[in-house]
Amino acid sequence: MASLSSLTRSGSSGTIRMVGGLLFSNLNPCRQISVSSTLMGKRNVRKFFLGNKRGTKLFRRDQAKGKTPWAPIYSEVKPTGFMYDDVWHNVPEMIPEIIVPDLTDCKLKPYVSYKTADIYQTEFTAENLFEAVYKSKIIQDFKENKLDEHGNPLEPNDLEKLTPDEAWVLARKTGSDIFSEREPKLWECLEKSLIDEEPPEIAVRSDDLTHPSEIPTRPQKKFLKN
Amino acid sequence: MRFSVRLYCSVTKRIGELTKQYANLPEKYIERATEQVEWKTPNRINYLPRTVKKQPWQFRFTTNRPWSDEFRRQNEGFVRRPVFVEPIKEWMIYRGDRVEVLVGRDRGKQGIVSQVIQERNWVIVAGLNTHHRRMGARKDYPGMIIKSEAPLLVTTQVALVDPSDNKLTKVEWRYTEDGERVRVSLRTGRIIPVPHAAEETMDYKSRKAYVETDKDTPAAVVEAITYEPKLKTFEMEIMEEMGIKEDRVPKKTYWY
Repeated sequence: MASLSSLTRSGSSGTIRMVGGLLFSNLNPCRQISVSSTLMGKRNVRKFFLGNKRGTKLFRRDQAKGKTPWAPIYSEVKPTGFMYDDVWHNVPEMIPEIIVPDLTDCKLKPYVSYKTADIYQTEFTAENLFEAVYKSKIIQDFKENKLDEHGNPLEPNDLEKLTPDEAWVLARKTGSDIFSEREPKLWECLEKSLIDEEPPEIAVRSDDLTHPSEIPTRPQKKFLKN
Repeated sequence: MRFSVRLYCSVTKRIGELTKQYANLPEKYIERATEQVEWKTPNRINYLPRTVKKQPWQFRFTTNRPWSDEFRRQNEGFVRRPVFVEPIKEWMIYRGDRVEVLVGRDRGKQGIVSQVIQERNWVIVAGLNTHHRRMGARKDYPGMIIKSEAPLLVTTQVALVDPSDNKLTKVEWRYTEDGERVRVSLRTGRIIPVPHAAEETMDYKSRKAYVETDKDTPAAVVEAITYEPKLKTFEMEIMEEMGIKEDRVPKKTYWY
């Protein structure tokens, strides 16, 4: 016999109200004939925290021992070894090594005092870096008249002697992949000025026997500013 | 789900800015403490992550703070009819403001705001609009009578007081020549400054008056600039500091 059973099924709203035989949940009408099948069903996991009590006691006992490989106890702890022919092998390299820096003489604490003023810092640009590295030497040379007609120093220090190729080598010696990304093309709409676009460098292949100076360079295109 | 519904899926978005500012608590904690999770699927591979919790519009905000136990007890159980709160574009009244009560037994009297509850457009004025309630009554003991203030609506029941003539006035937010946002009385044109008590939080009365504890980094240490610009990449600096030496030169790579 079809029967409407009232139940306190709380979905997205609080309780259900029975109005004229229709169930109203969250003011959306929904009909059900019998709900005992759903409540008692095997697949009804909604309101019941099954936790670790699923299965019989004997099953759970075997599961703890590891005798049920088809249904292992799910745990997010990563293993530190492997099982081979029913024998467990510990791999010390799999044990995670937590590296904590030496915090002696560290003035920084976990929290920041409320007394600190709001700090606003502008971007540290390449121009700022140039000023920090080269400015004092240039000013000193200028005062002592040690600059030639083009403004280059007559007695350059180590930093001023550095060429772009040398700088590239020093940066890559660390093993990082800095400067290894390709230059963006014109049509790739990245933040590049269209006016100062240089033609792409022609790569030298290893089996090519022509000298780099004999390779014809493409004429430089100059775009008008207006 | 509609975008407008998605925006208001968390309770913290319905909690007023002044409430959160006074609490000085992280928003995640407020969300976690306020929401009432009815049921959550276990964190296991055979379950889809589903949470059944009380909806933000089903909470009725009270004089108790939303993350407190009293608030939770007031909001558990059946869902009450929702209270309609008039949305206010610009909030005028802060903690510590002198304000005049317009309704009730204390109409015409002026008092200082002791608490602001933005979620209900409420303001609690110290010593005004009070009633008495009995606490701790037992069979042998009649209980203690406590005077407690009732909240007043900011829109209709309370008005700011102009400091020049101590009379109530309507207020507007305007900008000064320096670009500072101030409240201006519409009747006299006098600027009503935001009181110092508005800066107060659970941790301090004012930021200058804060007492630093053991786990706090002192302000001087935080504000000190320790960066020294060098013509080295990050990796190069670290290698120099750790004493790692590398003589191998990597080969050039090309993009075709």
